[in-house]
Amino acid sequence: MPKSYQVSTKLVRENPRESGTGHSTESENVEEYLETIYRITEKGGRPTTTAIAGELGVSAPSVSEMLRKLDNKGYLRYEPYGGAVLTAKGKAIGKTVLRKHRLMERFLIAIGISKNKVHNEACRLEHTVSKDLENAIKREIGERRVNRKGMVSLADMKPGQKGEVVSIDSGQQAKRRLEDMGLTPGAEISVSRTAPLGGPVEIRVRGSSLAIGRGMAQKIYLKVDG
Amino acid sequence: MTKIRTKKTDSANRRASYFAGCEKPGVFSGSAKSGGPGGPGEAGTSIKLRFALAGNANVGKSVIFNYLTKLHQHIGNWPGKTVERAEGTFHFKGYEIDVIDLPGIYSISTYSIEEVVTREYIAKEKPDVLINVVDASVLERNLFLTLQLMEFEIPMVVVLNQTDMAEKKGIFIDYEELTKALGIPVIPAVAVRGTGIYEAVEETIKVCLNKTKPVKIVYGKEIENSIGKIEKMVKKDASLKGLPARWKAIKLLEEDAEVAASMDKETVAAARKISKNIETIHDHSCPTAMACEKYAAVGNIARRVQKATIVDSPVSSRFADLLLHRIWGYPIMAGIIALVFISLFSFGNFLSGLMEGYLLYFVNAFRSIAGSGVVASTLTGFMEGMVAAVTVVVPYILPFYLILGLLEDSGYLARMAFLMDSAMHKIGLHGKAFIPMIMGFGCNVPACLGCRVMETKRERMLAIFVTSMIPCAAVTAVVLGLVAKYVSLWWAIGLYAIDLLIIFALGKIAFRVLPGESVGLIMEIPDMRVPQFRTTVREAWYKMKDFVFVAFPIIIASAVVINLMKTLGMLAPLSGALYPVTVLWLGLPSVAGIAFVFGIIRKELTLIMLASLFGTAKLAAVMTPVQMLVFTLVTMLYIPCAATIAALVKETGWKKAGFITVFKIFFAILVGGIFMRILLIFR
Repeated sequence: MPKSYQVSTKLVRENPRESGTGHSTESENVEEYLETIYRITEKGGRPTTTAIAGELGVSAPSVSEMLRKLDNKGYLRYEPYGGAVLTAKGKAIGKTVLRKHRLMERFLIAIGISKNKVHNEACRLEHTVSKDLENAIKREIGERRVNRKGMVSLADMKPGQKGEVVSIDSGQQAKRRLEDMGLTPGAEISVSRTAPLGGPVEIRVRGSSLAIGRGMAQKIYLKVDG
Repeated sequence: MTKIRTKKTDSANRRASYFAGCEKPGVFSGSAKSGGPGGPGEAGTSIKLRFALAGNANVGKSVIFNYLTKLHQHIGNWPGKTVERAEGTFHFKGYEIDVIDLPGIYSISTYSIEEVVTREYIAKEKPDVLINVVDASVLERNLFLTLQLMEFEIPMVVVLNQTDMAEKKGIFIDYEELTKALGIPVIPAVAVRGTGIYEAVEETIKVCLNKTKPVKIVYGKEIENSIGKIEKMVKKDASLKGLPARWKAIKLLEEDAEVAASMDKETVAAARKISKNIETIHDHSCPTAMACEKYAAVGNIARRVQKATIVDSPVSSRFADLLLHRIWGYPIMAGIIALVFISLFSFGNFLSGLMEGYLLYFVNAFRSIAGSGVVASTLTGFMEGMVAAVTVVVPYILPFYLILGLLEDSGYLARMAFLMDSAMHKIGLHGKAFIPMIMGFGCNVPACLGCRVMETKRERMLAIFVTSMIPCAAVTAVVLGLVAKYVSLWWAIGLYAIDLLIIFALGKIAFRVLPGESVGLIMEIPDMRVPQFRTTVREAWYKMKDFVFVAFPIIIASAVVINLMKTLGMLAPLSGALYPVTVLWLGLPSVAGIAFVFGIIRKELTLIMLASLFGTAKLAAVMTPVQMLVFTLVTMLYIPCAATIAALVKETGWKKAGFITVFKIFFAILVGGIFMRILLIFR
């Protein structure tokens, strides 16, 4: 089982042209499901049939059929009425596809695609991006962030630097929490200190001191003054 | 009745005179003398009111709560949830007032269990009035919650607390202006000194009787339009009764999952369409736009009422900087932890030894009188269990809670979390989990209960799994009493290292296996301050009561069971049954099995039982160094003690607690056997 999986995704990922169209649609479908389940779980929800059906815009019966299929292939464990739990294998794919999805979204926004179209476009593109293309895009929009738009991530800021929050790129829950604590777009912050060895960043925002883990800080983008 | 009334007047007088002593003249002019309601005395029965204290974490809610209720309070859990629920009653001018101390939160969303609990309480149990405690030195951020509380449209007052600290920082707040802005009374207070609380209660009762509701905060035009439209639809929707339509409309715009789930699908879909519109105008997701609007509104208010002057950073803040220093922060932390543990252990050992000596004397005297029947041995078991429980709680747990409370109140625990965040990420947890882990070295029970600081279920579970394996004080007693004494100090340290390595590895595996994403650290760093001794003592006392309820029954029950087994002659067959494991696989003497069984009550009983089963305290004569090392390692790993199991059940449910327990038994046996074979090779 694992072998056949590796072959098929490899084909789709690295060399989309070489895989037959029919084949690739099926693995795209698999990827789409795994991504959706991964995303629901990441948000802290339970990937029930209904939840997945809602996210994908398909009927619940066809979701449960697909889940059974995925269970057979060892991507997840599916209990009718209970929902799906990804196996390590399924999780790895879901995570990769979601990462590509987010990257594509950022890329599309950066090249000026309107916000409400971005999600659907990214859904199509995420299955065909190769590792090389992914890295190239990362480099490209990474540079854009720093040089062209003058945005930096909080993790790259030095103690004493001040900035204005532009966007938060994390999961919904963390984003909501950060906003509740005062990190809304436009909020002024200053970095008080950073802990060594990839430790958290301490900032001052709206009169309070907040510690933010480095991983989270990487997802907070700011316009730096001066 | 008269009797009660006199008591009330007395306490009122006492408070009044107390205030007269420490009030700054002029500041509160009028409010204390305004009389307030005359009291409902005529009817002859006292009127009951219900107050709920709400606010951010660390604003002094609990201080006010303790001040009001004194000892008439109880702390339990919210039904089905592991969030503390503190309730109490006090009498004031003929009113009987129930107060509830809601958990500290930053918003009324559903990020943490605390927020869910607060929201459910306000929506379902409808307190007569909300007392929103606000930290004067972080006004803007605090008002963000105030705004959301106001949206419940129930009577409310704001207690502007810690005004002294704010003034020290150069922040002055015009509370009369704030009263005008919010439409509800704002009472300045310094709760730790008791200042302002009397006035706050008077005002709160007035608000309660007049049903003064807060003003409506008006947002931007397009947001107000959208709220208005959704409000109309929501009014037709019968779901979520008892909550104001405006609140529901706002929550729909914030895309609140729970509110959306309990409303009609059409309403939600229509609201979504409207929120899409906001998204195009604001160029942010609608929840983000709403948060921006709220912060814009509170920012305006804050600017209007607050006068901030820049003051030189005081010495205390430079000291606080040192505690978080990139380099010095770590040795200071290590020093503080070492100091805490050395003093706790030496004090605990001394006291526990003293108490045990006296208490066991009584137990033994009882045993010699009562003989060895079934009833007698049940009773002795009961007494032994009591002794075991009491000699943990008084010498170890209570001082431990006290010191931790002082560290927490001073603001240092948050700093420890900050320093340790990157290290904790190695096992998938964030900095806050370091605190329960440290607690685990004292006792695993409070450590497991302390894992509640973790926000999501997954992280709680992970943190509990890891902390329940930390070698506690009892395990340390075995390591010191057996390995350090008879083998070598280096081996004792080595065993600790092996144990920590195993915990690290298991934590990492659990991190991989448990579904869900790791959430990073988002934590407020409070200012360093001198801890409030009175509040800390009270908190420690209640936490200890919590411990007693969790741990005592099971420690005593297991002591009774094991004593009965002894009387009924079941121990010898038991050690026979364990023979393949203890002797063949682990290479230990066969009595070790019985020692392990006793260790379930309390881990250091393994050592005590070993001595009593061998009939000698000179264990070097009966055990080889390898046996001692294996015995100790298995003791470290093999099972959480009875009290910890109880705590696990309480926090995670039977299934997961059972799994952890069984897993650890098998795991310890496996590791012990392998360890023994490795030792034999290198001997």
